[in-house]
Amino acid sequence: MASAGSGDEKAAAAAMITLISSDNEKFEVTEATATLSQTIRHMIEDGCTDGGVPLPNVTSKILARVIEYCKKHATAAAGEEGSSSSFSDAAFLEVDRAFLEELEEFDDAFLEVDRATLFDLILAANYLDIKGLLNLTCQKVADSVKGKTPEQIREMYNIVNDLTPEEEAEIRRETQWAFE
Amino acid sequence: MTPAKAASLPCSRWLSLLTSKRPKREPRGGHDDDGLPLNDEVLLLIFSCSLTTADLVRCAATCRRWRRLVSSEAAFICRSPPPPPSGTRLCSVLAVGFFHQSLGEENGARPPPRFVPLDSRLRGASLEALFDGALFWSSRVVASRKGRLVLELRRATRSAVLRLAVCNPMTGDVSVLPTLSGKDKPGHYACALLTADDLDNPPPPSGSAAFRLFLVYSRRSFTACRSYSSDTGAWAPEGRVTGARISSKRLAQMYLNNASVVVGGAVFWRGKRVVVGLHVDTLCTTLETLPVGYYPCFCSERERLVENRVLTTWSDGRLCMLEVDLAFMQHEIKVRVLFQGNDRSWTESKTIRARLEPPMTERPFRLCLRGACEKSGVVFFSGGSNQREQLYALNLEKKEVRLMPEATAPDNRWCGTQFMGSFHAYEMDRVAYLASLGEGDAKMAQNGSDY
Repeated sequence: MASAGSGDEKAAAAAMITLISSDNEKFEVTEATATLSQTIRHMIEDGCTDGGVPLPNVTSKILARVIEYCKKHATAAAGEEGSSSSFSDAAFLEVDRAFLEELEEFDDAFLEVDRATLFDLILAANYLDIKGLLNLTCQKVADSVKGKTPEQIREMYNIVNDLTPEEEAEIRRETQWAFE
Repeated sequence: MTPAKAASLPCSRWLSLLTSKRPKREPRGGHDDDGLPLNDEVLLLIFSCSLTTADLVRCAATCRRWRRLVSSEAAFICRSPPPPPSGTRLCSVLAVGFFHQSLGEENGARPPPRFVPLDSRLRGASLEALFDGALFWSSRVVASRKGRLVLELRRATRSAVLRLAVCNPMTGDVSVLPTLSGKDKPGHYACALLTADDLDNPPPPSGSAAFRLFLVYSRRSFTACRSYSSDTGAWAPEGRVTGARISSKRLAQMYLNNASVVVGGAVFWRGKRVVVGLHVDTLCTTLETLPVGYYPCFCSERERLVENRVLTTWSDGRLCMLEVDLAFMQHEIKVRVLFQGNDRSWTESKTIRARLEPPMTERPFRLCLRGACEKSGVVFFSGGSNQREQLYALNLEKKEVRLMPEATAPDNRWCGTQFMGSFHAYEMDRVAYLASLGEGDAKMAQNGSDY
């Protein structure tokens, strides 16, 4: 998966950007893929991407996943632009719908990761400012706390409970309705 | 804490009542590492992902950092709307109740409004400290929405200036708005208070205490609108509304009914047999005629008939109109809920029945809707004879009716003539509620660690 810069991208003959992970692995991606990240978009606009973009906060394992997401969604964005410029005939709409469904399936599968990876993806999406990925991953965490008790949330995410028993009892008493 | 003890506490806000007995805490800051590798910014984004209020409360009970974030950033979190209600409505734990203002005078002035909460634990709370001083004497509550009251200050005659104040009794915030005088002073007007989560366009005001106030009033040849923003602290220039013209007579009805509802960027008021709408971004007004009531939709009030309907929102966020009637030998109350169909006509409806315990026995029976709380789904109505009228609170969701004890009534009796134009259903809002979860922390930050 880390072997970016393979055949299809070269065929696209687009401008390539090199991303360098914290453990010094190099990933070559198209500009269209890279600019899903606002952080990198700004760097490209400022012309400071020659010699690669070092990303000291992102490991190669996470960066590979992030690139996987960006590639898929960059294609989706390109596809959307393509279809909107052409006349919107039923066949095109049908293709669009199929594509959106596929994208949704991709997102679902993409989120099938362990907690640590999910957190790393959130932090990377936040650092790289990739809105779609950030929303997707944050929503995943939010969904997981829905309907859970504080105990369950703590257990799920290894959260240290630093409330005193008295404080906890008091919060419970004042907000009893939320626990019914 | 016993109510008796609470009553003796000199507090200018109810929340301090609830929090004044918190156990001593560690000083704030640097002590809320929960071991989670996510920073505050990201955690806030997660909290903003359409969690219900109950979910957020449980998150706040997880650890210190989460409690701090939920409470201190409540306004940010609530910017994104909660998910479509799945039955989780706020309950009586929230301060739900009503403001009542006696029409009589004491020492030549009308006393400030008085709060009657549904939750008996709050009964002892007094707002005397908040409404202390001359400012609120002879004031008049003109709107109650989103946990705030809008009060008209000392308006002896219509020729005087118009001075409005917005106050959040939960937080103790009071803003006195710039006076509207001379040619800026409106005659008959209707007002509506909107907060950040009501508005997408124009850009919402920032911060949990922020609000906008809209006034609709009549000019000689057109209907005008003016808004105040707490961000700028000033009134915007007068605008001319498009669409339906609202007559002074209509405005007077809207002013008396005083309850406005905000749905989808538009404010709605009830006038006699009509619903008046104002789209706040376009300043376009609509006027929709209400059908003849299914139930007796008028009740006598001070020897005249008043329309017996209440405008509110249903749990799914739709605008709705409530009508009431008695059934089963006065053992049951029926509430008819009217919605607008696709053609905007008020045809769609459902009926909710709830058992009256004890049944109404005093003849002649009369039944008056008093007001509704949107979020908690509580509807207030009074019933009985002119000599003996009792106040009830109905929970629409649980279909439960509760008789308000007479001890909470002004002069120990619910009487029609006392009520007219002075009943304002009140409920604390989501942002203020979540912010209150960290109340102890906020207090400590103010008072240092000796709290």
